[in-house]
Amino acid sequence: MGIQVIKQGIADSLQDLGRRGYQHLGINPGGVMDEVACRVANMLVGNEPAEAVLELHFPAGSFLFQEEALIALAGADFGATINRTPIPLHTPVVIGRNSVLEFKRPTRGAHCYLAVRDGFRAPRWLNSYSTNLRARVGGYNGRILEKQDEIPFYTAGISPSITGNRDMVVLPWQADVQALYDGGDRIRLVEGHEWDWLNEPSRQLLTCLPFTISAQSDRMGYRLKGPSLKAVSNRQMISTGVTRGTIQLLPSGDLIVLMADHQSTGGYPRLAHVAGVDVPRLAQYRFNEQVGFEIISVAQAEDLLVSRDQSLQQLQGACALRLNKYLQEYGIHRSEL
Amino acid sequence: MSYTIYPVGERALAVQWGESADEQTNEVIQGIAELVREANIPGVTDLIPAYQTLTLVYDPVQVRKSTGAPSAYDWVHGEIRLLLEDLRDIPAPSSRSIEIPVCYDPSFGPDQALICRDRAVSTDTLVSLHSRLEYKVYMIGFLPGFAYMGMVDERITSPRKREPVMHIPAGSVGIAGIQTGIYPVSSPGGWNIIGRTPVALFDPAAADPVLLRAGDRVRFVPITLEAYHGYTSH
Repeated sequence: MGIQVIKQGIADSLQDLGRRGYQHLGINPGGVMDEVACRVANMLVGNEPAEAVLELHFPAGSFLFQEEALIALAGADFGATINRTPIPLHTPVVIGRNSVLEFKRPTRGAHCYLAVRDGFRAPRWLNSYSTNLRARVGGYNGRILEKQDEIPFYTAGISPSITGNRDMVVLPWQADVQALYDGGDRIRLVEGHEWDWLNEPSRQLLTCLPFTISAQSDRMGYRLKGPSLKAVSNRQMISTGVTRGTIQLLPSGDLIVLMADHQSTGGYPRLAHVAGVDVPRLAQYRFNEQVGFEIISVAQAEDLLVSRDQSLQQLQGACALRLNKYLQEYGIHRSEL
Repeated sequence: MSYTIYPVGERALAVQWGESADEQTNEVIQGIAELVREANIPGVTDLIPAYQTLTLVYDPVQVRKSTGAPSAYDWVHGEIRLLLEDLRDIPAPSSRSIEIPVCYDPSFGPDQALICRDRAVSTDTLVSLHSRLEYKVYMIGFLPGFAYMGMVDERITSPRKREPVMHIPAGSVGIAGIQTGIYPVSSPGGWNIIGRTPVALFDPAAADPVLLRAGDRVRFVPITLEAYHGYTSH
């Protein structure tokens, strides 16, 4: 018993923090687009950060809960409802048996994450739950979720029941994620090894003018539309390693930012790399939204990443404390009845 | 052999040898990649050996936690430099010889005609020139188990297509410039397809999901359409 897909979404898939250690075989890390939201959803239900979550894109699927479960949503706001009653983001919610979770309206962000206490049960491939759509392996049968799919939970239901006859119980706290996505209104970049391949005016343009995220973007990469950038010469690159966040200059003068499902190697100039701290923020931009860039140093990018991890650790601790206290008191309360 | 080390964002660094991608450079990289793997540097999650670079992907948070170093980049940089400086002889990379049956039936090679026309060779010549040489796997990338092999006989080299084809079936054997390769899974792609192998280059259920490794030596053995279908029905 777990959840059943009763309406198919456009690209819902099972993901986790990714598949490490296989890029030398051409197997990319994959994983969630927004690592912060995945970690927040997991911590709200008391999971380890790397537990499997559902990554939802709008229009997202509708899910029937075959048993009572403690869940949390994080990341994009898709106007989630349980049996047509809105529920908040970043808040643990106990959803009753036979209740339906749906998403009505995308008001903010591009990727929403659903975590369930103790996680979704799926076979792990190469130590990860992430779905590799290109290789058709991992996650739920190596593909996006379809109507009628059933994903079981690791642990069955909640005993004794918290919802009773109710559709849901919203637990009385919310994680404050504001600081985790801080960074002003620009996405921060670190210069790439081929930064100097751009001519001087193009380097100026990259940091002065906004770029539009094209609708041809997907989990592999975000294509950017903006001023056409010019290389100093038409030198050819020899294929080399790339990472999530690498910004490549395509022969057309357009840019592509490599995202979760990027290839392990690439043959286009690596102009810059999105700082790790801002990859989740970029992942929440929607198609046709505009994004501006600024350059920071490698040392700054590293410090920002470390300090965000500390914030996440603190939040994880606080969430665990609240949840354990709630469940404990609930247990005592029940036994006194 | 001289090298440079540079950051690839704040979560990876690359070691680059020389300015060209020759076979000797590539062998050095394969050997060093094995050493770096054995060195098990804390926080380093992936190694990506390519033609002339070795990219180390690391988690700066993990590096700093496990080493106490104030800068993950400086620390990983230091570790790799130490390892390279101590290097007396670069170990010969492990290399296997692998034969891969390929059916060059025109039905499997939609781009044969194009290459034959552009390079003024017959189909028979194309097949014999392609299957005559032993190729070296320079790197794995692009798709799970996609081997970049070289060097193709100069009489049948053919540039990558300007516009990628939307669907290239798994097992398709192609040429791009002086490189040859096999699509392990079906995918969009720009290589010129001249044949197909019944061998699974990528088998997610296998303990070793990927057949070819960087450093391997590969020879293509032409087979008939009957042999192809016989092979697949095994």
